[in-house]
Amino acid sequence: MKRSTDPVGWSSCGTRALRRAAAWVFAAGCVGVGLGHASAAPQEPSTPPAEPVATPVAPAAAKPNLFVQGARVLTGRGEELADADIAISGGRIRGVGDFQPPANSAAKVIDARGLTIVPGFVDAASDLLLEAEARAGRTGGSELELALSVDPFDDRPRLTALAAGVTSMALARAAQTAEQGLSAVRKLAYPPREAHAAVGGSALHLRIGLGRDRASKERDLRGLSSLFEGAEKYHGELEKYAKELKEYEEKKAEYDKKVAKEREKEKDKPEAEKSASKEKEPKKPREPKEDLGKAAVFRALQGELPVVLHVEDELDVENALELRRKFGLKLSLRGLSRARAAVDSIAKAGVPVLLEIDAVLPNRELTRTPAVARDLAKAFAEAGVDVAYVSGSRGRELAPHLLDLAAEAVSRGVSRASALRAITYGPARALGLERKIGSIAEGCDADLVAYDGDPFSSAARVRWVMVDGEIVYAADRIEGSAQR
Amino acid sequence: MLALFSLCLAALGAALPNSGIEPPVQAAPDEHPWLIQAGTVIDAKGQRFAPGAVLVKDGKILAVGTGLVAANAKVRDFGAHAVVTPGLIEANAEIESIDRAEEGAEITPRLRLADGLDPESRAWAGLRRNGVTSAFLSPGGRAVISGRGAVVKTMPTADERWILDPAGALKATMGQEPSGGNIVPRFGRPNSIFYRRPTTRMGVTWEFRKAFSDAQLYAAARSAGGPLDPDAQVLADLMASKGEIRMRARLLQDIRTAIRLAEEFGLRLVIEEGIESFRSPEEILAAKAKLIYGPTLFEPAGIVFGFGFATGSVRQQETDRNYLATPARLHASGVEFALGSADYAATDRGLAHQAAIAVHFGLPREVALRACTVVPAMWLGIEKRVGTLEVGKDADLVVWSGEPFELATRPVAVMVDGVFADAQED
Amino acid sequence: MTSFAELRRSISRPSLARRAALGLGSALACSGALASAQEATFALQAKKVLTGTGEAIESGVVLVENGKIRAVGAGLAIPAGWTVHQHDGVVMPGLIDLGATLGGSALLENHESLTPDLRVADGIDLWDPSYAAWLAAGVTSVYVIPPTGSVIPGSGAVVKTAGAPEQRIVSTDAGLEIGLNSGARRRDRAPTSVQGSALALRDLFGHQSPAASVQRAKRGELAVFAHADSAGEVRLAAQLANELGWKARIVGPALPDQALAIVRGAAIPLVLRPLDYGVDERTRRSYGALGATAHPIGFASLAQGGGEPGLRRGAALAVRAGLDPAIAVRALTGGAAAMLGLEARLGTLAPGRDADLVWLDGDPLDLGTRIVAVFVDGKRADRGAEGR
Repeated sequence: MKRSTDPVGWSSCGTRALRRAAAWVFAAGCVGVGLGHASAAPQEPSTPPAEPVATPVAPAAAKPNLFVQGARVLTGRGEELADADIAISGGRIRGVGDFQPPANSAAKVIDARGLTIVPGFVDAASDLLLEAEARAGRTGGSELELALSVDPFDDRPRLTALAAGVTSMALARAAQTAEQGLSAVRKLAYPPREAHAAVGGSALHLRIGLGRDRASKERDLRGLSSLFEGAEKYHGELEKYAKELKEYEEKKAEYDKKVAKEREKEKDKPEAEKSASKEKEPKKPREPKEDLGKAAVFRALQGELPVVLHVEDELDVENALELRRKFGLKLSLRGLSRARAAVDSIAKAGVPVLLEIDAVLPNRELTRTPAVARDLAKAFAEAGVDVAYVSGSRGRELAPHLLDLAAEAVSRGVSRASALRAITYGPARALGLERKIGSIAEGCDADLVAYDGDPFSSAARVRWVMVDGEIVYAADRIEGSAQR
Repeated sequence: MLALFSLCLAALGAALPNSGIEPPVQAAPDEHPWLIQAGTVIDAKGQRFAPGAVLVKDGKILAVGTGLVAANAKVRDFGAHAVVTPGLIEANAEIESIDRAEEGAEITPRLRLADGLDPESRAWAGLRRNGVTSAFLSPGGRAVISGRGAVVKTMPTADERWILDPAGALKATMGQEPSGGNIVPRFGRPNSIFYRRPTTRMGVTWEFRKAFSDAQLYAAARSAGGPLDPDAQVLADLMASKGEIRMRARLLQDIRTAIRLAEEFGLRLVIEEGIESFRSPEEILAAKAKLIYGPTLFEPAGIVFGFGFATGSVRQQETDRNYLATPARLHASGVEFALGSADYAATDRGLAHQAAIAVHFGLPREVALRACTVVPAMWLGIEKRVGTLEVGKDADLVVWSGEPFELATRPVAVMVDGVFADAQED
Repeated sequence: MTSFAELRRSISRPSLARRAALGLGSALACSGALASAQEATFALQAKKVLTGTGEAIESGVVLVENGKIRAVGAGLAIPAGWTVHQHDGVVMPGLIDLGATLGGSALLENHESLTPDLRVADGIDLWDPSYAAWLAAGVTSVYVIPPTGSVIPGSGAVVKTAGAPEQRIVSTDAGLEIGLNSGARRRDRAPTSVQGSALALRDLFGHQSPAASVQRAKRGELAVFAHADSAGEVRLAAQLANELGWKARIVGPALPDQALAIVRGAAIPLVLRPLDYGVDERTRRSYGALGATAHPIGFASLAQGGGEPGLRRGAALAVRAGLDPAIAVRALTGGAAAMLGLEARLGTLAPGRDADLVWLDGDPLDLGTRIVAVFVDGKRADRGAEGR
């Protein structure tokens, strides 16, 4: 039973892996399913954010039915609007500016005068949601789906982070293994097992170098090269198989037709004269062994899956950029605590960076470790790199303090706008989801955090957190339930 | 779904700040008395009210009986199946979360366990889950004479009111526990706490006897104007007042040693644990020793929470000899005893469970109740405040889900000094 | 007959100042010129002056003369000929760290558990790199303590993080350290338990102890810094303080609101560990629950040197959790000085106090605020570094 919509023509046969492979071939060949991130051409330095592209919506949904009025709005992309209104419907932002809810409509209005509203924070790499063994475990592999390691019963850390304004989070783990697995982006307002929790945007997490000597760094580079080459080879085998399978099916169909015809012809003949077809039945090609890991790596090679490389110093960065050139990866770099000298080459390559606390606040713990530049975060911000501050492998400790981390970056010379951007638009862009999360702009999800003062001030408190247009945390519970 | 989640978040916000010690509630006078109603009220003095009620105000019992009415009282009705008894008194509790023993010396009579009590320990909730409202906290057995235990209420207050007696009975330990794991010092500088003197039962007995003999000599010298030795002074005072010594003795040989030593120095004896006491109840009767029996375990050998490798096997050898029917046999022999659950006290095999086993294996129910209430109250010297449900006594009570001391019955609510701590809350 | 302790005291007391003076005399001959009165006399006009008492003066002026504060207020007349500094930000007293072991493990004397005669002042290395890190974070005075590895590790000294060496030791005996926390006990050395520690302390304070620090602590002349983590240890510390007549401070309770519930009646000040990012939710809320309490608090990094003190971060996170900002500022400055009994010299901007100042570009309790300059004894001491 062939489906006419099947472009390659063999989705009805073969294994899961094969079907997947087919889909990728299709995707890569025909459409190029890029996440938004793909638009950032590798060689261009990171450009100022493009105009938000409104996602097409059904007219009914587009009619705003929720207005957040009169707030100071920091959009996450650097703009600051005083006394602005946010129009929302269907969980999406329909506009930011001066709105009046239509008279006698059922639209709800949230009075936000005196509040400062920022986009829900995005943590672009965190182990907060992962169960303990996945966080610390030493098993790895490109096929490892971190989403399966989310502990659905461990609610408290998630709710704590949500109450601190973190609304989206990409799963990641510490770099114990060279291949750390496939991450996914989730919203924090939903139980981890709920299907709609996933925002999308998986990425393949790998590490290179990381505090080891030069020779092992070299070995890591070779290891990753052969990983990518292996994936290409695997894909070649799959392609060959697909081709042979197609030929086989054509031959088989021909053969079957012929046999049927002959049978029809020979129906009347006596039993003894009956003969099978003179032609031999075509041989079925052998399928290559299924390898989900290589399949995942191949998706990365196709640019379908961003690659997050965990690096430490400038040599690692050099190696990472080398890999990117060689295989055309859609690359983000994570870690970078000793990569001060590589800032310019990263900026030139236009690669987003995910900075953990030891990069944002270097020298915080020990002065006796080899000196590293204290102004690393500042250097990245000024070089125009897309920066994301992440809680990384200390998610439980740091995810609730994402804003504090940004505030401390200000004390290290980063501008307030860049610091806020590094926990909103920056990480969204690094995840390729800047049209969906991380900013207050038309078409983005209505993930908002309202503070009763300047968010960077210690005296400011979160008043409420909104996810997909619904208030999911309210400091004042009664007010919160009234909004709902 | 989101609404539900928001509620969870709000609950999170509301639940977390309650981390501190609650301000003392008992001191605040109740505006309204509590009227606690149940199918049955047992007052542990021999009366049973069915249906019954207890009226409580300002932490004290106002009335006990049938058909109580109080105008402005807050009523809490636990239903026809519920049974109310006095709060249980754990006569021998060892709590993990405090430093139970000082290991710096073998004879430390001036140590007071009360100094190490943590009002935030989880043990108190564990005790309350067993229906325990007062407990004697026993020092650990790693020293031969390890200091004074403490008598406390199981609901700590920010002030010291919850400690009924900071200087309870002096505790000594016989048998292998103080010597288990010790190494004979040979040469060089001993750098481990296990380089200690007693390495056998005989050594333990010798340490005890020497301490008291020295105290006798000291008392004589002191009355002749000799210098003060505070440790020996404690022992001398104890002998002079014919005071009480609480000896942990499990095997019959240790029980006999304890009886001999107490007699030798003119001390009143309390035997703790007494695993093999059933072998010779006559000796205990003859010595007029108080017996705090337990713990009784389902396992023939005790699972040891004690001091790890050092004494684990030793304890096991000793506790090995316990029999589930020992309480019943002791009762049949005419020995009056209190029940204690030692290091199980704050676990789910604490006093409620211990008493249930004793009843299950033949101890009459009312005797079991006495062994958990009236008898320990008397022996700990707190009988004027707790132990029975009587007008004027502390409002310490347990509400059971059914007839107490059945294996299927659990305490559903516990009141200490007029304040409820529901089993679910803990 | 002189006891060993007395002998040791007689040797050690003048030694530090002497050593500092002798050993560095030549090296500092040139810097002596910098320390002239001219340098340390100036007027400072700032957008906001926090005096350290909880008071804030908008558009305030601070007059500094010879390293001391002459006057503080709004619209003060500036004497003719004085240098005038303008600062478009906040000026506050230098922060005080109420407990850090700068100098590290070299200060841990571990041969026995009760060594009340030991004085950190006898082992301080004024050139330990940590002082510079603390200075960069705005800390101008540190109560240097021995590591809390024993029941009485000795007495601590108050040291400035910069300045002329002979002036850096503010107090050689500012407090007696007592460890009731589990880190102070070891299994191979008596006492091994809390109640054993209690007994040992009662014995030491109950009898005639030759140690001068014990005598002074008994008379209430020397503050006692009792380190306690759990509620039980705090309870014991409060009890001992009451029993033995200590002028006590309870240091480092894990959940300060619990400690507060216990010590409130006894009015024992609390010295808190600064909050940090790794700290769990329960502890954070416990700091917040202190709210606007009038109970005296201070902050101690309890660091072993290296890194940063984290005091300002800790206070800021406590404010985020609900602590009153004015109380937090006082805890970092004037309140801390009072706990050390040095309120006449440190911690506040008032006439006659040491001119230890921190300039910031914003609210000291905002995490994004940077330190612009640090002055010790009226002289600029930082090298433009930033820190917490």
